[in-house]
Amino acid sequence: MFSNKYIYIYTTIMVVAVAALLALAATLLKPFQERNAQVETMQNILKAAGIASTAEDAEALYADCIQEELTVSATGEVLARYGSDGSLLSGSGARAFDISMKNALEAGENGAFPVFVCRKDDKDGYIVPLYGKGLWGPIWGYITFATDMNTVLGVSFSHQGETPGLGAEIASDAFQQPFAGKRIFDAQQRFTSITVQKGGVKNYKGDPIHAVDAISGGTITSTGVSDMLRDCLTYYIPFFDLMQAETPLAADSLKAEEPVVTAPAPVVPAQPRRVVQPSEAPVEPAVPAEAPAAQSVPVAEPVPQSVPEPEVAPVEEPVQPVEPAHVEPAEAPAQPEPQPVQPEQPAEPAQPERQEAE
Amino acid sequence: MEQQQEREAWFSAKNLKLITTPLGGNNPITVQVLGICSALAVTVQLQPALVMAISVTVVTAFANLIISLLRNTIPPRIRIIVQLTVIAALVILVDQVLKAFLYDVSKQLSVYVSLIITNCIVMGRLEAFAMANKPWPSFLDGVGNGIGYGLILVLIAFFRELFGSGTLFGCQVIPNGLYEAGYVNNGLFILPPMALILVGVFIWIQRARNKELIEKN
Repeated sequence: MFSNKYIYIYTTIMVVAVAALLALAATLLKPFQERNAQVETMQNILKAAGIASTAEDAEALYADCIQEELTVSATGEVLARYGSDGSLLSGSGARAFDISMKNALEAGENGAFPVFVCRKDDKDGYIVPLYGKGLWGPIWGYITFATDMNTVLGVSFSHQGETPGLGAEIASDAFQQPFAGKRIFDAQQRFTSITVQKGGVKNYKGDPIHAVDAISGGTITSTGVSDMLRDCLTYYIPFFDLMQAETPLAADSLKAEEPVVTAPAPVVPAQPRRVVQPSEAPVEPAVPAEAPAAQSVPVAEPVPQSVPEPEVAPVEEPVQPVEPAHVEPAEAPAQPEPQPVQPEQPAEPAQPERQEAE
Repeated sequence: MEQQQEREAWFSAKNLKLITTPLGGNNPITVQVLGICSALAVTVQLQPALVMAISVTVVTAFANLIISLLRNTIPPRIRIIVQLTVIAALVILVDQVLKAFLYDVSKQLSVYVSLIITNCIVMGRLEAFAMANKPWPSFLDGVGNGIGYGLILVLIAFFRELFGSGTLFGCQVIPNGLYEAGYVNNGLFILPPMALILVGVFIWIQRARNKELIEKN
């Protein structure tokens, strides 16, 4: 009853009509969708800065709070400065707001990384975007540092499809609140990042200032947050170094010389350590021979235990886990029991924990 | 539709029945057992479940309407392709509109909006009803089936959100005092298996009350 010719014409007309309709809809709705995405980014940035916003007032608050958007290279250079309205202030390159952290991470050493400078209650903060993977899909967020480039002021995390009630809890205030006040550099100015500790901070072998509680039943997502923090922040260490050198008031964080030796978390080896204190000058990474020996003698545990985090997923290129090499010569003797701590290694939970249910 | 109006009132008893039977005696989920996957996936909270219910209703209603209008021109050999094209176009439209105007919910629903395309209810109604009926009854049939599906979705989401998170539409409904007294949210309600169990319970209750629905063998 229907000829082949009829069928061909019928399908052609149908496909063209549907394509035209969808193209029209996509074009008409695009401005709204892009605006939604932008507003969401602004809300996330503001949340990390500790400012609650709604979809309606996010743009105004963003313009108000964000002083500058910096685009920095992996070597810490500021490539471009933009105002919060998107105007180029100096330099050249992409606007930080438009940079996708995912692409920047893929570009690695050649990437351009965004930093947002915000001002709240007359205090500056530096907001850095994060991007990593959870259990079911990507997770991302923002983390705000005080001007010492060490102390966390706030974080915000989002996710695409983590399990509601388990991994999805990383987006909750209860999970994010404890990040405030944590530090990413230890007393010796080594990069330790912040670990989301399974079983709670009390299980973290090291200074609790570098750890927060993980989510019961959301272990993989929690580990993903740890990895994301470490991987992303690694690229910012040179920038932090430079900023730190410019800002003398770092004394606050430096004087906190707690006698805690943290195991060498992934460190960028060839990097000049940030703010090398005069007394610490000889502490540069390569002291391989004697230092580990001196350290492992008084310890009962076998040496292999101090191999940095075997369980943690392989880290990005530039992050070479270094053997416990840089022990402060000035400090090592003063500490009879420098436990070879493994901050990254998820310790066995001390209390019965819900199985990974995700 | 005009000629329809001449012969029969728009909401005649027969037409109304098209809406009411899918709510109970011929419910797409509990009786026809279709669309289970999305019933498990989007019912953790009430808001996404409600938006999903509305989206599916819109898609089934308009797909039924369009296919019914075209039904005499569609070559039988490619009818499934035509049906799928219409459904896919509608689903993409719904998805785009949600992204533009209900961004938060659209993020929560994520891929499940696109997966309406694969929802057996939509396709089933096109094949079973719209291909053989006039536009207005087809439209009503689509609305009825969409609502019948949505009703179960919202019911499941109500219980899952209430017991799983202690909230309804994101607002705390279980008093804090109860939590202090030792009450805890039931994590099982958050996970998909509980949705399946709830669907089973609904089917059980419905068949216990309406013996006609019980299968013979």
